[in-house]
Parts: sequence; structure tokens; C-alpha cells
Amino acid sequence: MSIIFVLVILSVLYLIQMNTLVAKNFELHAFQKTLTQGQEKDQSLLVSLMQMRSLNNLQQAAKNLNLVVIEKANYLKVGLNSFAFSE
Amino acid sequence: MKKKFGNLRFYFIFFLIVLAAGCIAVRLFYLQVLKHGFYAALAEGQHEFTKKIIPQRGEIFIQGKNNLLYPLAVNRTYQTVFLTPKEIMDKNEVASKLAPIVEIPEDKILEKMKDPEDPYESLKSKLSDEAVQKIKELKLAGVYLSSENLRWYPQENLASHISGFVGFKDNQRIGQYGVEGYYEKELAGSSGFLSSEKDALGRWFLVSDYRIQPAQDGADIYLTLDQNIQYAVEQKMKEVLEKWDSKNGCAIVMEPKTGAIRALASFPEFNPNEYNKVESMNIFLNSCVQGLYEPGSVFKPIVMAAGLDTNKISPETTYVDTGSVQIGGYVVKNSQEKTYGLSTMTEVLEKSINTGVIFVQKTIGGETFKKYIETFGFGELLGVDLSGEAGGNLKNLYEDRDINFATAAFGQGISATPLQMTAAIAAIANNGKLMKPYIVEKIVESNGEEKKTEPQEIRQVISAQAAGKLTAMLVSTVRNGYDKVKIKDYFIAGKTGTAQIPSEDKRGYSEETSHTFVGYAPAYNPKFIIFLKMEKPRGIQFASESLAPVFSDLAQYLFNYYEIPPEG
Repeated sequence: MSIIFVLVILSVLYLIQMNTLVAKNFELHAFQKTLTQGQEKDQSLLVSLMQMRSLNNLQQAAKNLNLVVIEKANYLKVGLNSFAFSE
Repeated sequence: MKKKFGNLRFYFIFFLIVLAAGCIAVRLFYLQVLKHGFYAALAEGQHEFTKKIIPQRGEIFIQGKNNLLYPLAVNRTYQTVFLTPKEIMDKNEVASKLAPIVEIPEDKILEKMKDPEDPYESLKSKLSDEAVQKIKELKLAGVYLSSENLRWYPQENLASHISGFVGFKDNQRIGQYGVEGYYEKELAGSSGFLSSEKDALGRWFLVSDYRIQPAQDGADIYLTLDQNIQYAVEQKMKEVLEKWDSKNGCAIVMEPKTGAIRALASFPEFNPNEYNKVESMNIFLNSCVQGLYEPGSVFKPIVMAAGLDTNKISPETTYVDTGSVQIGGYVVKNSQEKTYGLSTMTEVLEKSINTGVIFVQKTIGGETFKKYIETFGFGELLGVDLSGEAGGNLKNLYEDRDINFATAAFGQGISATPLQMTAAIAAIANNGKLMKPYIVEKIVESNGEEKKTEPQEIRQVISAQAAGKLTAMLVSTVRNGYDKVKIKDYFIAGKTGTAQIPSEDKRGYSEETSHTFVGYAPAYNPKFIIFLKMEKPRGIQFASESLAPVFSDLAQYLFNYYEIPPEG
């Protein structure tokens, strides 16, 4: 009698364990799907960022903002006898 | 009597049972022992799967100012829409709804659905995000989306000959041309596998046991190229090629002291995202590395270098130019048939006098001349890390004919690549040290291990003293020879070349020319060397007119970009 009781208990435990396992499996699939969606969104944003930072786009943006090219830079000339005081 | 028949019936039934049991035992033996392997594999196949794990291809980065990095080639997941015609009930409805989204005419879509038993018809790949969203919203039966990981070049045409592209070869995706081709092994990585159990729907049963051999992702490659310089060079070259109706050109910006290439552009260029739309395969060839040409007068500094290094001439050595030189049965004249009279070697470069370099070549002798040309790296591979490098052609020099040595002195009758020409002049800039040009700054493996490229000296080609004298001569050449180079605050060394192009259909030369300008600055502590080449321009005769302004603009840009203060 006690053997049958133990067998029933073990069967119930086995069923619970299998049920949990399958449920976790479904949960993992759901998380995996969310992850894929997140990755797709992330990639889409990265692609937009790269497109915005491409030089052709920046050139166009600079043109639209009426920015001008630096033709020549003027450098400050420091004389040979120049020096700075310090306290 | 009855009992006898009863016994017989018993034995008969017993015999049938034993026979049936024997048959079952034999069958079981056959299935479980003899065919064990087959059925075990079949069962395994039903609930187990093995999946190849594809490695992520390494990405390629280009530099910006202040050590910023920008992607040149990356991986991107694209969506593809495909049809399963046998599941589509109303084909006309599907075609009319999909046509505006995928931008394919309705009749073309209907044609793809004409076979009712067809399980798969690809409709369009590389869909935009908007198109994917619209297709999902339609929820059409028999219309599916699948994703594939493809290469994407966000800068499109920029440095296309450097990046190359990932194309198909023997049904496999493989890097072709440029860095994609040269570093295919490093970029590709190696695949792994996953072996596990699957559920009734064929999906991976995530909590079951599994065996996994991870894929090894490809290495990322960081180029020496600077995207700002590359862009400036490409824009300027496009303008000048369009202005003079030239189809082919090449531009290189390199650091003479290290050999690091900061910009390299070959024209016509292409968009590696749409490499399959290119009309001719020749467009994929990088003319800076693979294209041989006769350099013309830009070669004259090499002859002078040989003369100075052997101490057979000095910048002040004089000779009398009579406008032509008789060599055997040939008469070699100066450009435009000019005569300059008594001239120094510096003036030979300033005025690009053909007879002057022939004088130097004769002074040092044919063998020495040949030796110096080889020492400068002509006729051999420099070993740059780009696909398909050409070595040049010095065949004429090995015939030991005086006329061949004479014409080679002003850069005709021998061929070289633009990169060889750049490296040779860069050696003069770098105190006579020839550096190996390189395009990859470092390779970073997927495990984080870094392999950095160190500048590599190929050899000392001339003495530092000879190089210094020649630099002074080339500074004088720019100051007194090219009024189109309008930068007066810096010392710039340079030389032009306008060479005739060999005729394609007959012996000798055509009327068409190639223009070259090569120069470095600041001349006595060079930060950059710029090489520019344009083929078959129309409406302009000399490189000093066509390319000198471009050189001037680019040099000014680089002085500003590198924040190099004026020298005086």
C-alpha cells in the first residue's frame, strides 16, 4: 500500500516538474522573441544614426545651415622675447 | 476420436502462436539489431537537430579626427518578402496590394505566382523598415518575411575601392576586392554548431540538453584612412575629373614617415551596396594599386636622386641644353620643342627638361640607373595590404638599349602603379627611407586580442644628404615652376608629369595624355604626400595647369586639418 502511495506521489511530482519545464520553455521562447524585437529596434536606430553621420548627409546639413569652409587658418605669432609672469 | 481432434486443434493453435511469436521475434531482431543504426538515426532526426552557427563577419572602421572611429562596412539584418503561391487564394488581390509597397509591377508579381504548386518564390530583398511594417499589417496568406544578415556600407561610395564588397562566389558569400577581399580569412571567422532536441513544432527545446561549439566571429579591422581626408580628396577629384571630362583618376594621401595611407581613391568609384549594378568589372579594379601607367616627368626626381646619391651631379651642376639629344637613330626633344641653353640640375626639374635628365642618366650610366629604379621599388610588389597589387613593368630596361634608358629617364617606356610612384617620392621626403605602404592600422580579434601594424622600412634607397638636396630642388620646382600652387607660407616639394599614353591599337603613343602631380609638405618635416592622377583629360595640356590647383586646395585643407602652422 505504501509503495503505491509513494508511486502516486512521485508521479504527481513528475507531472508538476514536467509542467513547469514546459511552461519555462514557453517563457524562454517569449523572452527570445522580445530580445529579437529589441535587437531589431536597436539595429534600426543604429542604421539611422550611421546614415545621419555619413559625410554626404553632413555635407548637405552644412550646406543647409549655410556653414562655410575654412579657407585659411590664421595662427598667433608668439615673439621670441615673449614670456609669461607667474605669481 | 473427439479427443484426438481436440489435441490436434490444440497443437495447431499452439503452432500458430509459436509461429506468430517467432515472426515477431525475427522482425524485432531485424528492426532492433540489424537495422538499429538506421532507426536510431531516424528517431534522433525527429526530435534532435543540428544547426550551423554562422559567425558574425568582422566590421571595418575608418578613422576621424581625434581618434574617432566610423563604420565603413557593417553587418545589417535585412528583411526579404517571399511568396508561397499554393497558399494564396486571391492572387490578384495580393499582387495589387504588394505592388506599391515592393515597387514591383503587378504583372511581374502575378507571374511569380503562376505555378499553383510552387512552395517558394522570392519577391524582394533588402526591404525598408516601412515596407516591412506595411507588409506585416496586410496579414496576407502565403506572403512571408524572412531575415538575412548582409553587408552594409553606410558611407556608400566613400572609399569603395578600399572597402571592396562581399559578393557571391560558388554560392558562398565572400569578400571581393579591397580590404574585404584581402582580409577575407580574418573577417569571415569560423562557423560553429548547436546540437539539441526540438519540440513538436520543430523549435529548439530550450531546456533540454545540448551540445554547442560556438562560432568564432571575424576580426574587426581598423583602417589608417581618415574619412575626412578621404572625403575631401574624393570631392576634389570628382570636380576636376568632371571639369576636364576625364573618366579615370587616382588620388593618394600618405604619411611619408610611416607609409600609413590616409586617403586612397580610384575613379570611377562605385557603391558597394549595389555592386551588382556596376556595368563593367573594370570599375572594381583599384587603379591606384592595380593600374599600370607610364608616369612621365614625375619620374624625373628619381633620376636626380640617383645622380645626387652617386655624387655624379649636384643641384648646381650645369649642362647646355640644345633642345634635343641624338641617341642612335633617335632624336629625343624637350616638351613643346623648347631650348633652354645653360641649365642647372635644379632648373632641369623646374622646367622639366627632358634632355637634362637624359644628361644625368648618361652621367651615372645605364646599370646604375637601372639599379636605382629597382631600389626605389619599381618593378616589384610593395606588399600593400590590398587585393591585386601590380608590380610594374621595367622590361625595356633589361634590353640594355640607350634609347630605352633615355626615355625611362623622363618616365616613358616603363610602367608603374600610382602607389609605387607615391612610395618612391615619399622615400625622398623621408630622408631616403622607402616605407612599406599600409592601409590597416590594427586588427582586433573577437576575443579582444589586438594586432597593430607597425611602420616598416623596406630599405634606405638614397642617403639622407641626397634626399635633402633633392627636397630643396623640388621646393624650388614648386616655387618657380607652378604658379597654380598658391600656398606661399609653407615649403612644398613637388613635381608634375604629363605623359603620353601608349596607343592601344598600334605601336607607339596616342595623342592622349595622363596628368600627374605629386608633392609633399611641409617639405623639411613632411606630414603628408599627395599624389594625383587624371587620365585622358580634354581641353588642357599640362598637369601643372590641371592638377596643381587641386593639389594646392588639398594641401591647404591638410595644413588646416593637421593644424600645421605656417613656416615663414
